[in-house]
Amino acid sequence: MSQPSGDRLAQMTRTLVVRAAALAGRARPDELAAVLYRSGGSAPDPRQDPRWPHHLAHLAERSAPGTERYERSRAEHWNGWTTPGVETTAQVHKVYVSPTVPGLATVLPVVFATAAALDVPSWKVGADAAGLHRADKIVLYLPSASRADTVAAALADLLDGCSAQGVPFTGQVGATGIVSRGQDRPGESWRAVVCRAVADALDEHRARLGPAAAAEAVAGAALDALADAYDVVTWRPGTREQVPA
Amino acid sequence: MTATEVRYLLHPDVETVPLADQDEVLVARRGSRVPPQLVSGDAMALLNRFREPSTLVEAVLAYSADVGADPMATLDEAFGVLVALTRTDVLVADGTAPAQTLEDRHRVGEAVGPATITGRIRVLRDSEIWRGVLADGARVVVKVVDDPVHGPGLVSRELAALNRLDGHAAPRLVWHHRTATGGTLVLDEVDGDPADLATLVVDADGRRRIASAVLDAYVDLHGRGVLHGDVHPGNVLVGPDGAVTLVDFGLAGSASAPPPRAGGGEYLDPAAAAALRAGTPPPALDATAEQYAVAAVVYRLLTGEAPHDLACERDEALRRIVQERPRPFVTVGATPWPAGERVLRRALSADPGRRYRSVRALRDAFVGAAVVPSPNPPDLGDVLAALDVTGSVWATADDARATHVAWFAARVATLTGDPLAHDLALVWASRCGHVSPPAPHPHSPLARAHRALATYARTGRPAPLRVARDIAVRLSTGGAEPVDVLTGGWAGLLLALECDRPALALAPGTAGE
Repeated sequence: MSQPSGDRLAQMTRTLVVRAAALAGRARPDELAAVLYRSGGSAPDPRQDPRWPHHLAHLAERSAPGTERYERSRAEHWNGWTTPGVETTAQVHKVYVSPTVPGLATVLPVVFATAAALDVPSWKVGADAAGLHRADKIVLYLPSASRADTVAAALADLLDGCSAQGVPFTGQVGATGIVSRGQDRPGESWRAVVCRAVADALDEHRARLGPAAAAEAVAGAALDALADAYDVVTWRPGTREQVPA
Repeated sequence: MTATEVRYLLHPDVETVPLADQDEVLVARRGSRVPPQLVSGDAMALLNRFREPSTLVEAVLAYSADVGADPMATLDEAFGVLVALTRTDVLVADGTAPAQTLEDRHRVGEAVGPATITGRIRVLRDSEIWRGVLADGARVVVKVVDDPVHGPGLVSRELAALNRLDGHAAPRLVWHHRTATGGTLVLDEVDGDPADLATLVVDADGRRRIASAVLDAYVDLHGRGVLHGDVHPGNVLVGPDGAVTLVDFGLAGSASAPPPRAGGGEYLDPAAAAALRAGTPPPALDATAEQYAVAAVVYRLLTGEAPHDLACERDEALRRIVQERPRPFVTVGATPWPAGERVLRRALSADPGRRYRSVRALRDAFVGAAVVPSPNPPDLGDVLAALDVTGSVWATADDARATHVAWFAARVATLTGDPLAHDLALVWASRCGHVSPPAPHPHSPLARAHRALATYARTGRPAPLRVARDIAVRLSTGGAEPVDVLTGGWAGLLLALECDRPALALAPGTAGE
C-alpha cells in the first residue's frame, strides 16, 4: 500500500530557493544554479576507504536475484546497470532514491532487487564517496511516467522505515522523501534544467525587486514566475503543460 | 643464441590500462600473481614494438626512429624497465614456455568429481578456482592446483589441514584427487567477503564484532592443532551473518610439522622480518608468530591501516617491523581505543615472549577490553541555524566575515557530516567568492592548538591533545559574536570538534576546504 506523499522535499526545496534568493545579486546565475544543484548533499569523510562504493554495489548485486541479466557500466562517477539493447535515451522518467549515507548498505539491496523484479531498464549509483554523498545518489530510469510511478510507489513502500536524505527539486513519493520523481529533457537532466530555470528567475527578480528585498519575497516572485512551467510547490514532473515529455 | 639475438614478445595475455590524466600505463599479465606494474607512456610505446616478436635492438631502433630519439639513450633509459618486464613474464622470449597463452583447465558444465562446474571465479597460471554444484544442489568450490614445483606440497598441506579441521573454521572438504602437479579439491562454498571489505559497511562496534569473530576462528584453528600459515584478510571470509571462515590452507601446518614460511608485508612477524633482513633462514612458524599475524589483521580491520608504516624501501620496512611499536590508532586516523590498543600492542610485541600465551588468551583480552562510549557530538542545530540567510549574521556580515562563516560551515560539514552545514557552506562560499579566512598568527592560541593536534595525530601522545582541548575550552569562553574562526567561541567550537577527529584538523587559511 503506497504511503500518502508528504511535503518534506517540498519544504526542503523551498528553503534552498530562499537561500539562493539571498545570494542572488551577489552571485551570477550559473553560480546560483550550481549551488541549487549541489544542495541537499553532505560532505564525505576524506578518510573513507575508496573501495567502499564498489563494495556496497557488489553486496547489493549479490543479494538481488536477476541483476546478472543487466549490463554493467562503470564511469568515473557512476556505476550503471542497463538491460542489454535498451534505448537509453528513451528512459527519461526518473525515480530517485535518497537514503542517508549510513542507510546505504540496507537500502541498496532493496533497490536492486526491486529494480530487477520490476524490469527497470536502467539505473545508476554513485561510484565514489562524493557520488554517494550527493542527494541524487541512486537514480532509476524508465520509459514512461506510469511505469516510473509504479516503481517509485513500490520503493516508497519498501523503504518507508529507512531514513531519508531527500533530493531537492523532485516530486516526493511516499511519506518520508526517500523516493521521488523527475523527468529528463532529451539529453538534459531534470534537476539541471530546473535549477537553471530557478537560478535565472531568482537573478531576474532580485534585479527587479532590488538588493534590499527580503529573500522570501524574491524567492516567492521567482517561483510564481515559473509556476506555468513547473509545479513549483511539489516539483512533480509532468504536472504543467510546458514540461516537455 | 645470445641475449641480443633473442626475439621477445609482448605476451597476448598482457592487459594495459592507461591512467587518465597521467602519462602512465598499468601493465598486467592475465593469470599472473604479479601485481600490475606502472610504466611510463614512453615505455609503453616501446613495449608496443614487441606486439610482434622482435629483438631488443630492433625494437629500440624502430622506436627511436619513430620519436626522433638517440637509440643509445633510449636503450640506456629503457633497459631496466625491459629487464623487469621480462622477469614478470610480460615480455617473454618467443617460443618458450612462458610464451604459452593461458587456457582454462575446465569449462562450465564439466563434471569434476562429484561437482558440476557452474562458473569461473579465478584462473591463474598455476591454479584455478571454479564455482560448482553437487547433485543435491549444494554449492561448492572446485580448486585446481597445477604447479610441478610447489603444487604437490600445497595440496598435501591443504588436505592435511582440512581433514584435521573437518569443517570447523574452514570449508568442509567434499572430494579430492591428487596429481603429480598438485590436484583438485572440491570444498563447500563459503558465502562471505574478505574481512577487510566486510568492515567497510559497518560501524566501529561492527568492526569490533568482526575482529572478535576472526579471533574466535583462530582460537578454534589453533585449538585443533593447525597453523594457517597464510594469514591475511583475503583468507578470512566474513559471512552475512558475521560468521568467519578461514580459507586457503596450502601453507598450513602444525606445531609438529611447521609449514614453510610465507607471507610478508604487514603480516610478517618480527622474527621472520629480522631473518629476512639478515639473509638467514626464518625460524619455523609457531602459534606465537601466527598470533602476531592475526593481531596485525585485527589492527587492519579496526583501523583500515597496517600496524607499521611500510610505505618505504624493503630493508627499512623490515627494520620497522623488527624495531618499532605498532602505531597508535590516532596516528592512522582511527578513533583511539586505549584498552584495545594495549591488547594489540602486546600481541604485536617484537619479542615473542611478551605476547599472549595463546590466541585464546589474546581473544579473551580483546573481548574484555573496555570500550568507552564516544561522547555525544554537540547539538549544532541552533549554531547552524544562526548562520542561515534569514538570520542577522547574513544581513550584517561583510566580505571578510563571510569567509569566516564559509570556513566554519565547511569544517562542520566535513567533521560531522551534517547536511545543513553542507548547504550553508555552499551558500556562504559562493557569497565570499570561495576565499578562505587568513591563517592564524603563529603565536596565537589557535595556531598552538593546531600544532599540538598535529603532534598528537603524529605521535599519539596524550599531552598535546590535552593542550589543544584546554585551548578549545578557553576559546569557547570568549563570546559568540561575531563569527570568527581564529579566536573566540566559534573557533573554540571548531577546535573541540577537531580534537575528536584530529586526523581531519585543518587550520584556517590552509588549502583543503
